Amino acid sequence: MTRHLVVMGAGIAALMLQTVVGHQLVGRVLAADLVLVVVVAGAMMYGPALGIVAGTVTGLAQDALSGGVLGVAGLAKTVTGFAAGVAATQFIVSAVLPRYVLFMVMTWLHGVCFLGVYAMIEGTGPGWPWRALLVQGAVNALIGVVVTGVVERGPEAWRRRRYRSRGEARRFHR
Amino acid sequence: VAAGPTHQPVYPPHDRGPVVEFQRRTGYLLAAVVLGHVLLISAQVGSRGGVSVLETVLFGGLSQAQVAAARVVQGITGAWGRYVAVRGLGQQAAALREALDRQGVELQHARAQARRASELEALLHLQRTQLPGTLAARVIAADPTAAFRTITVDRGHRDGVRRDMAVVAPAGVVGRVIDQPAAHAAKVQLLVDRNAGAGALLERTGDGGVVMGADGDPPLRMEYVNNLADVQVGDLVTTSGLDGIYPRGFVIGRVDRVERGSGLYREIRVRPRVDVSALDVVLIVLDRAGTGDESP
Repeated sequence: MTRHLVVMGAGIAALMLQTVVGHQLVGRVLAADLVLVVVVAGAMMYGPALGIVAGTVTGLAQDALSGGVLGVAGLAKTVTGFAAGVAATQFIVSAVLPRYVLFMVMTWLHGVCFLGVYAMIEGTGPGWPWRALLVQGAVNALIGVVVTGVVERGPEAWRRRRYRSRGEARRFHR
Repeated sequence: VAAGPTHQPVYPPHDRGPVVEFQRRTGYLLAAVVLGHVLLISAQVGSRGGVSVLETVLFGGLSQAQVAAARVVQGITGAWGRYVAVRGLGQQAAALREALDRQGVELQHARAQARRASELEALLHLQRTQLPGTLAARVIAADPTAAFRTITVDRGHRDGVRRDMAVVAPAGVVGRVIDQPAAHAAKVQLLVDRNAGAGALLERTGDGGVVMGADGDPPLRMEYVNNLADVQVGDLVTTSGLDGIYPRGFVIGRVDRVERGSGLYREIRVRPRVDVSALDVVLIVLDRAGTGDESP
């Protein structure tokens, strides 16, 4: 349960970062979908069930702040969270390259779900901006690899650094 | 060291083990959530009104977080602007003073013209138009998805903001308020959104049409302008006031491209006057006093 809350909190924080900070500092919407990065990273680390819950909650929050139909991003993110969780249980994604590919494929899957639902609702929909999707996939994958690397290795590296500095301090006092 | 006997759990024939059970539960969860989303989407698409309660509650809660985050970011950037980045302010002040002097002269000229116009109005018994009442609002967030062009402003229904109110900037039209506003936040659909539209006319000729958001560059197209109409690149496009949302006479942009259409109407692309990527403060039009028809 704590994991679910932490991932969902991270998703909402990513949403704020994307809409408020991205707008205030960059002046326009960031090319990356930070919420999707959090959902895929959470599903990759903790499994498909968490991917479903995190995708639903953060997707609905994204829909509520957006000008679109409530539920479309929720549906796309739910499916993507589940697929990312299943893929992470079937394949080894601990190395950088497989992880990069996973984030990229999940961004495309999310794009196909999101745009596909709108195409069904509106007839034409927002079109298929392949180039934008490619760029977003590359950026998401880069951020995802860095963030998951920091989350996985960061605490251990921090502990080791503190241990080493404490040892050096003891040696210095001797 | 001899390895001890391993105890493998033995499951009864009807029980397929915890892994399979977990997978089955996850499958059920996915099916339930997807079904819920499909029902939610269907309800909105069918009724066209939207699931306003859920959306309003979600938007109300999340917009509070957006307002708080925006205040923090504005505080940090404001502190930077006030205390650190003071270099060049002298030059900026001199340039602003010069611009102010120039605008003072222009204001005098405009006042003289307004006096003459009011004399003519009185002479011809024309109905007077007044400036509409406006409310300044700060842009606090952009749309989280790239597919839509909306912004969130820090004024809501407690400030008198209602759905379908027009939003303008000093340079021209920005968009309109959509959905039910929260207490202190509202969603604004920009005119460049592909679902947005506004009644428009070409200032030079008076030909009317509808300006809509479009994909590509420039992000606006003007529809329903007759192929026989005289349209030139650079023509000013303003609001007509016929849509019941935007007050008449506000600048939308200039004609960027014009081609003869295959049907009855011309294909016109309009470059908006307002740079929506650099919006900071906008004005919400509270009443539509400026939309009065100027017929005698």
